[in-house]
Amino acid sequence: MVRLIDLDVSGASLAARLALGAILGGLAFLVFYYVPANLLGIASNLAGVEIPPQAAGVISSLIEPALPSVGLALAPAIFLCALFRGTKAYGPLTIALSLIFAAYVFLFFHGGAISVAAPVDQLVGGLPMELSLSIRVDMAMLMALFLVPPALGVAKGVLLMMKMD
Amino acid sequence: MRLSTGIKLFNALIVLTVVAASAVTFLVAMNAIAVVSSLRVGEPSFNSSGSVVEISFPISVSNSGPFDVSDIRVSADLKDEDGGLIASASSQPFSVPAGARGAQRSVSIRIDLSEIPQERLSALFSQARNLTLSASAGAALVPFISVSAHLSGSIPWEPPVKDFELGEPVLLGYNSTHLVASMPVRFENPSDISVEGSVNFLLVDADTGSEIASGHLEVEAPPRSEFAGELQFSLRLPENTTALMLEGRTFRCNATLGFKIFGIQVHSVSTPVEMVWDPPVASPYLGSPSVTPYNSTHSVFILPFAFTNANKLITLNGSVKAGLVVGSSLVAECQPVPVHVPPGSGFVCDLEMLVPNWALSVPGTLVLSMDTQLGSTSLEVPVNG
Repeated sequence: MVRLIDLDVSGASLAARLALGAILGGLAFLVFYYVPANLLGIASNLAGVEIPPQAAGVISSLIEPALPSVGLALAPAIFLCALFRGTKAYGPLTIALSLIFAAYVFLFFHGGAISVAAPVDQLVGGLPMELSLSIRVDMAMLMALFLVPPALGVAKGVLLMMKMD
Repeated sequence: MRLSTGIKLFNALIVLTVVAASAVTFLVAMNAIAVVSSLRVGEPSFNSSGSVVEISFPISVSNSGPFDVSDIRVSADLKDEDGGLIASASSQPFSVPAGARGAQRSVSIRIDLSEIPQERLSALFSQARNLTLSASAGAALVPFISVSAHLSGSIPWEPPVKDFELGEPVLLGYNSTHLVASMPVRFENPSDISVEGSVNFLLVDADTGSEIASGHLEVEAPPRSEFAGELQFSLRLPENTTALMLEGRTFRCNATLGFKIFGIQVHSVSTPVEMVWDPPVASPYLGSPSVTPYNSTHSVFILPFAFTNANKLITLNGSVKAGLVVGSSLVAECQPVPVHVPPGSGFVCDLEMLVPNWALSVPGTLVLSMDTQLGSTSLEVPVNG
């Protein structure tokens, strides 16, 4: 038996927890950190062509600079949640994970509205004119929808802490 | 026990909301893609009324998704370098409810030529410049997403009337009161719009400012073409046409050409025009007369006469004759000599008349008369016996 803070678990259970944590943490690392941090390279590989610098600038502006860092923080938080599930630390860890996820959602939606500026004449060659396009996508309602799960997660964490007390 | 139930409830809610948020995102994305891909812009229709030109683009859009697409709006302004409005386009905001198929709307571009100041219109038609385009569009997938886009930029404008040239006028014909002339008109239309209208021509005397000729030329210059035409007009002759027979003259005028499109004058060009008139009787020459006895009372008087028809248009027809006047009496006169002198040719003749011998010894006046289609003229030369 192994003691995890206030919980005794068998070796097999610990191994399962570690394995699940590693898988979920790895997936989180891949989805929430690796993809946004390497979006240009991934898009280039998928498209099979080198993305021109002007288009790269537009794609880069879709990703908030802090987003990969927050995504990177999600991976260990998920791993720890999987590992310490059922212990006293699970409640605070659930709250922390929910808050990090809420921050991630907020950054992903650029606070509710994404603005992109694109020099059309540079993106589309051969135009005999200078054109710039700016697009604003207001997604506050959609962001609010995605903030509901972390909000519920925080509430769940509070209940977990109350239960452990 | 209650806390455990609460935690389970929260777990279920979390799963439910994650699934719901993901489903909504998927549906919104699919809805947006379906609406955008169903968008069709039809053939534009042109409608002009007075000075207003309206170009309407029919739009057809379907919405197979579960959400209403609302507040769809399009607007655009085209301005010149000084910020003056040239054209505007707009559509009334409209919605496409969920499930709607082939909803029809139109976006109209409206150009009111009468609202554009004359100098701005003229500059647009004759000078290359940069126009500023500002366009906005927006739509919302209620209540989750609203999109607004703004396009702005500078568009190079090629003038539809470029390198306008008015060629040298050419005289085509004449009558007793008018000269008929033509002037070549040429310009390039490097733009993408068609120039269809008319050119009205007004010629005013550069000295007096009075109108002396007017003309009209229909113009049709498709995009990226060169227009060449002949502008014909009648030029009123001066009162004294006899002077035109002996004297060269330069008609100095100001030509004003106004381009009219949809009945609105959009561009005008003023340019000085000179038309040179060369006299049909140029460099007249009277040779030394010779006298030979004819009989006891009369002698033969021979007067050589020559001139050149310097006019490039007129063949001079008529007759020339000479007479000798002593005191106030005509004492001798020759038979009229026919004159037929094509442009650029010379005329030479000997005018012969029988003169009483007594008239050769007294002072008199030799009168040379010419009758032509341009009028009559005479030349008097004193003769001292």
